[in-house]
Amino acid sequence: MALSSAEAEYMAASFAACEAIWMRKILVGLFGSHLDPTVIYCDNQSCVKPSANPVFHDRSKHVDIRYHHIRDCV
Amino acid sequence: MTESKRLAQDVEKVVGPPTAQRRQRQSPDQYTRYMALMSKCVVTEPSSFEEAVEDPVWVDAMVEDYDSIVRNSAWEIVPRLEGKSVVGSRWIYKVKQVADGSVEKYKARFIARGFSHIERIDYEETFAPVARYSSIQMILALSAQMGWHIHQMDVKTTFLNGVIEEEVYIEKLEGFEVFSSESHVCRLKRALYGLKQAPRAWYTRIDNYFIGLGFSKSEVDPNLYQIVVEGKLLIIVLYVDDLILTGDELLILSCKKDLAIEFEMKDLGLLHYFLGLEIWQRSGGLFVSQGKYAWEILEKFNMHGCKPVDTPLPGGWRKEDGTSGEEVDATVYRQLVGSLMYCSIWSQAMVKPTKLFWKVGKHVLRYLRGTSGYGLWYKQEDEVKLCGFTDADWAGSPTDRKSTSGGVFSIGSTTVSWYSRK
Repeated sequence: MALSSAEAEYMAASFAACEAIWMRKILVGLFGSHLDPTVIYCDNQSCVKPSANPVFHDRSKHVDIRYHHIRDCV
Repeated sequence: MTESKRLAQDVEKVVGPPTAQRRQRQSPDQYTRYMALMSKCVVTEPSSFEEAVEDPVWVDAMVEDYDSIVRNSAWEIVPRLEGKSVVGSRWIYKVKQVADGSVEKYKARFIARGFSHIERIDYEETFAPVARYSSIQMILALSAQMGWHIHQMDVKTTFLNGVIEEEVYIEKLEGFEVFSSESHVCRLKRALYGLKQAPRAWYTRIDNYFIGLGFSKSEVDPNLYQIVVEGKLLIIVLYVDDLILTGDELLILSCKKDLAIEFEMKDLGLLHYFLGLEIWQRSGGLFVSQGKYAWEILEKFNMHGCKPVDTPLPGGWRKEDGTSGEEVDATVYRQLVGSLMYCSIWSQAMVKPTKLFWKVGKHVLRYLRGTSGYGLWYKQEDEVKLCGFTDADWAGSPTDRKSTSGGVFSIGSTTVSWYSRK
């Protein structure tokens, strides 16, 4: 359950990150080479900013920990 | 009094006063002719051994299947043991038809009645992995990128190759009894069609084979194998009994030879039809489309003459409006949804579909009609880059206010993976 559009986008980005990791693993497995970072586009600044900059925020306190997975990926 | 009036009076005396005319119902002429034609085209499949044994084509088919069982030495005949459960067996018959309705092959298959098996006694694990859809897409995109050809191979009587570990007894083959005495049964050495563990046994066998050849398995998809020989790469994707081979041309050829020695294989040459996908391999890229599959769905629901629309779903449509209303045939509706695999948003309506859902379903079919020629064009590019797009619809569902998130991934310019979930 997302309480704000930012959270919804944040969750979506987190899913996308999981998918991207999976696909990168296949590519790296096949070619074994270094891969450029994968760009994931997202149309919400309040989602992009906290992903890149892990500062604590009142508004993001309620977001489920599992979705913070994306912070580790960026 | 004229002749006709008198006749009418006579009739009235017999049958009473005239009432509203009743029309006799009868099917139109062309329908009867059509049915007559169809009954000629449709070859009936026998439902039992007794029926089949009278027709020489089916006997031939049974002998063919029996041969492949013997070739694979699928069982040994042992005396019946006390306290061991014996699984029933039977023949099934299938006519394989080509698109125009002519018979391609008569197929008979001896199967085990696996449903009578009990878990943990007759079998342990039944899980067998299949390749993920997006990894297949990815391999297609990569081979387009590298300019590789994609080859396809198919394993004949797949499951007979699987080695069975459990002790499974089966009733003797009907019509091919080697032992006349009633007290003997067959102990299976190979997995037979119909057994619960058959797919798993097959996967284990081919997996061991590939590993033995020196292939390495992808850590994220257990059906993706690769090998590097002298700096050249060969990739194999396994989808139950279908193999897709891509990479260096010489390696493909030698691998095909190896496979043909180990298993009974059918070499289908260049890949052009796989899991409902049509694939055209051209220099500079490849094109993937589901046109044929879409067309089959349209014909199944008699919508191939419909007017195409440009939108996948009717505008302003709300799922909740459909909770009440006139009900439609649930089976047909479920078939429709199943064919479209569009279930993610409709799954809730599966139990009691109403007219509205049916209308929406038909709308999707119209959209399909308009887009059946569309496909994905994987082209060769200078740069391979994985790129993702994501979006979310916050609180999009009117009932539970859950959000929907979706995403698309592409390699180069072609989409390889997409999803949408609530």
